[in-house]
Amino acid sequence: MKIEKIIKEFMEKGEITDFELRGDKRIFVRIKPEKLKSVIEKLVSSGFRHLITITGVDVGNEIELLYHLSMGGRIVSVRTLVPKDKPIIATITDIIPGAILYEREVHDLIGVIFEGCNNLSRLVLSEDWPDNIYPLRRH
Amino acid sequence: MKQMGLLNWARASSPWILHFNTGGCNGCDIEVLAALTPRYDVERFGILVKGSPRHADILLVTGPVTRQVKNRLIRIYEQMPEPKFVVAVGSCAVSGGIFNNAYNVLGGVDKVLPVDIYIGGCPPTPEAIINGILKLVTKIKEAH
Repeated sequence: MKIEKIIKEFMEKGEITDFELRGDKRIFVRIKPEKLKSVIEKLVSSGFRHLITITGVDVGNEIELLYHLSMGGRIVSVRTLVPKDKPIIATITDIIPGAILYEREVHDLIGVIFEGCNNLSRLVLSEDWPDNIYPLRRH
Repeated sequence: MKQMGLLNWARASSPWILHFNTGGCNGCDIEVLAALTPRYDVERFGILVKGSPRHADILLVTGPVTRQVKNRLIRIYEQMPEPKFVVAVGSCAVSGGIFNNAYNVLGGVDKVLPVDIYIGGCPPTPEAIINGILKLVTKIKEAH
């Protein structure tokens, strides 16, 4: 399915709040965190089956999460904001099992808790790293 | 120059090396490998690369020491028989380089181990690496 059509459908259903096209290869989609699962599910079933990575960015009082999905050279980046004092979002490992590595990395570095993820143990930080300190958070 | 003892003569004639990357970008490793090619023929100095710390006299460290690798580096160093020497190859191993003060990096090798020779450069040329090891060999020759 064409991405333009998917976005149109999303907009009609109110799943996404905003979108932006940058060139013909990159599409940014802004969503509310509670819509994440349904949006990812829809994108995966329409062909965007390759999750490139999950990015976490500290943007002040919130943490922005970007889920980059691709199909045939086109990349859809799903952006969503979670509050920094309660950074909880649903896991997508039940839709894309390989996302576990990215979720663990984001959990390590920026402290987002992926609800429903069955293993959020340490991945990239060293063994002696203190708990509750997230190196990529700005203070 | 002082009279060299038999042991020092033997040590200075066969400086066997163990190469260990503590978290670098691989640039220095490529230069170390280049220094070991027949073009430079380091075996004329008796330099050999060994696969086990138990066979090595010199620990050749490339890359900044990360928090994760610290204990492994110490463990490898402790497995080497005495007398042992450490050579820090490249800016990262010397001081942490551009990775210094990063959250996952402790700094240069001298934060963890006593370093005998520092070879700067990003990366140092094979000539510089060989020169550094030969300076260490001179140090061994002049030791008591």
